[in-house]
Amino acid sequence: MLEIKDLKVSVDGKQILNGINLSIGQGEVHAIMGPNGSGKSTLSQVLAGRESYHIDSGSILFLGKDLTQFSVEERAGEGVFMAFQYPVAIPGVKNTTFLKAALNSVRKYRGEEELDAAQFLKLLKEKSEMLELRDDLLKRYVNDGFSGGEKKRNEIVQMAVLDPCFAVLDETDSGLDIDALKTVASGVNQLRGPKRSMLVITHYQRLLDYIVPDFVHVLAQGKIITSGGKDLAKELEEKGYGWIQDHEKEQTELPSV
Amino acid sequence: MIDQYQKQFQSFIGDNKSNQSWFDDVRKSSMESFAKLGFPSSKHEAWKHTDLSIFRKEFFPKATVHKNQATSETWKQYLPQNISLENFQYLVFQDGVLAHQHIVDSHLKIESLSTVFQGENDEVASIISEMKPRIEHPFFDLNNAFVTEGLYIKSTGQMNLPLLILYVDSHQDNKAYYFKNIYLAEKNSSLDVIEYHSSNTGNQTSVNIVSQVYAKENAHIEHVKIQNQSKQSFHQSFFCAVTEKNAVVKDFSFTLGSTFSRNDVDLLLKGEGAQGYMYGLYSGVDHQHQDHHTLVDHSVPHCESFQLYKGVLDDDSHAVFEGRVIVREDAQKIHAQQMNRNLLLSQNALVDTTPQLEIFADDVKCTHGATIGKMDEEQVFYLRSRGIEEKQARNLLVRAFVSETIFFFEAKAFCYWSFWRSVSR
Repeated sequence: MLEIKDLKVSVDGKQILNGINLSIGQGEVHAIMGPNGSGKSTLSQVLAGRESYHIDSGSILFLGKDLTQFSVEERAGEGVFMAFQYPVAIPGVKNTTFLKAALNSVRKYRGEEELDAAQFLKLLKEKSEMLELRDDLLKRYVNDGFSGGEKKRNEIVQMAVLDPCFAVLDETDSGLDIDALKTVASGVNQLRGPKRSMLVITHYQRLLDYIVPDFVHVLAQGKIITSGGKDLAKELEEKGYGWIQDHEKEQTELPSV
Repeated sequence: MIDQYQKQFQSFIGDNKSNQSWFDDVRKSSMESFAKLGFPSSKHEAWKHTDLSIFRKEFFPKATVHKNQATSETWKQYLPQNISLENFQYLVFQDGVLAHQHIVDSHLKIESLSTVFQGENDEVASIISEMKPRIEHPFFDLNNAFVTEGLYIKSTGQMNLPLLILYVDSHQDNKAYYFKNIYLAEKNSSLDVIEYHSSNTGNQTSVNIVSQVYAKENAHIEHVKIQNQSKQSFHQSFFCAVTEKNAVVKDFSFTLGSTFSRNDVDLLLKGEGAQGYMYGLYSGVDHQHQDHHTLVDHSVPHCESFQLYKGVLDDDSHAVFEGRVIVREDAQKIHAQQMNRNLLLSQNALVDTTPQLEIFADDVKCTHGATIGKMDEEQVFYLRSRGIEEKQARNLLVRAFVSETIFFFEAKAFCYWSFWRSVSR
């Protein structure tokens, strides 16, 4: 599904990602963990298509196509979805208006017929019931005055409506209390399936208790320094990021001895 | 230039001799006032940001109107496509002349301006002569000097349908049209008016309109003006309202068209418990110049006023907002709000905004403010990340920015249509 090879990215002339290699298969859920400043959010922004990030070298293939050639909106059409860490509020634009415009844009891009108001509302009702999102949130302006939990749930509703085949969840757990975290995670789990892959980016292991990944990668200084199964996350939580970095150091230093 | 207006005035008064009226004195003194003032330069405080050089260079002769014009249906092509006439009662000024009318409410009394000038209605005469700008105003003076077309509309009951007054102009040349409307709402009555100004592409006429509005006790007046003339035309508007006890006046000025437009809105809250709401929206492109000058005068206690003016400016357009709120010594326990917000879509667009409060009472609640900003690129990115094309995303955000001004008015269908035509060019 997604194939990242030797990806090097810089922001304002400073290199942040120093050669990422990552391969995500269909239906797989991967988690990327790492300390602050390791390059987690840079990776998510590059996947979303943020223009201020410069790709120095390497490639990102999505379903065999070069993802970097697509604009931000084309990526959504191709099936990439980004759940933002800090979803921006848009006063004046109603959530339903926004969702309908988004869905019909994506459908148009995919060569599907656009939905009329009645068809759209039916779909939206289905999805929001599944995710237990209150009706009034849909009638309000996009993320305007939403609590942290409501914003994240709103992201998941958008994901459910747009039906992407690949989703990046960027620090979805940040700013959530345990109840909100459980609700959001349960929404995400309902959207898991054999055809949808996910990349969960997080600082803490806590989220991965609820969204259990198939693979865990640890990112430090712009590189994936180790990968493993879901247990790697537990080990990290117990021993801290220091452990893995020391461990890595030992490994890299060994041959020179 | 002033000579040419004076010359025109001499022959106009001469031609008009057979219809002598009490208004002739007003005309003469206005012409004298104009001759003294001319078109003020930027040194003149009230005209500081309004460049009148085109009027100093170019003479706009009064358009000759033909009373017996063929009653064609061409005016309908100027209506927004989504508007159904069944939802309105209407009056149509075609090329300066009242050519069509369809009135449903029998309690509406509608008279032509010439009838008013010939008659002896003291109440109307005092509205016409006394409700005037508090600044020196060449366009108001010219209006008094030359106006022949217009209406006196009085409501004594509740309106069933809003009254649409359509001004359409098919000419191309640089003629001047003068209109004057007097709106009077009797005690407990309501009056809903939508003025829609439209003209052919390339039309260069100058429309000068004066609206004088009087709301008696407990009356409710809503006045919407949508100015969608050609981008080459000129527009000057002076709107003035007085409210008696517990009366409510709402005004909405929507400026899209014209290369030059100047709007003055003057509200006097004269009776206790009165409320005034003033909204404005302007959307400038190319080299358009769009002015809104407001004045709210709180002269008595327990009144409320609310002003919200918003602008979206693209290309090399220039907008001016100058808002004054005066709270007189006796006007205790009033609440006045004023806000002007501007969204700049281009590096070269320019806004001059001056909100002012003059408060002489000590127990009042007043707020005012102004903002000028660019589009939030985070919001654009967010919408795009959901598949919405960049142009549509920006349009959505512009619409979000302006919607709170339009939202309150019955005429919103009109506004949206005109606005969308304008921004999705």
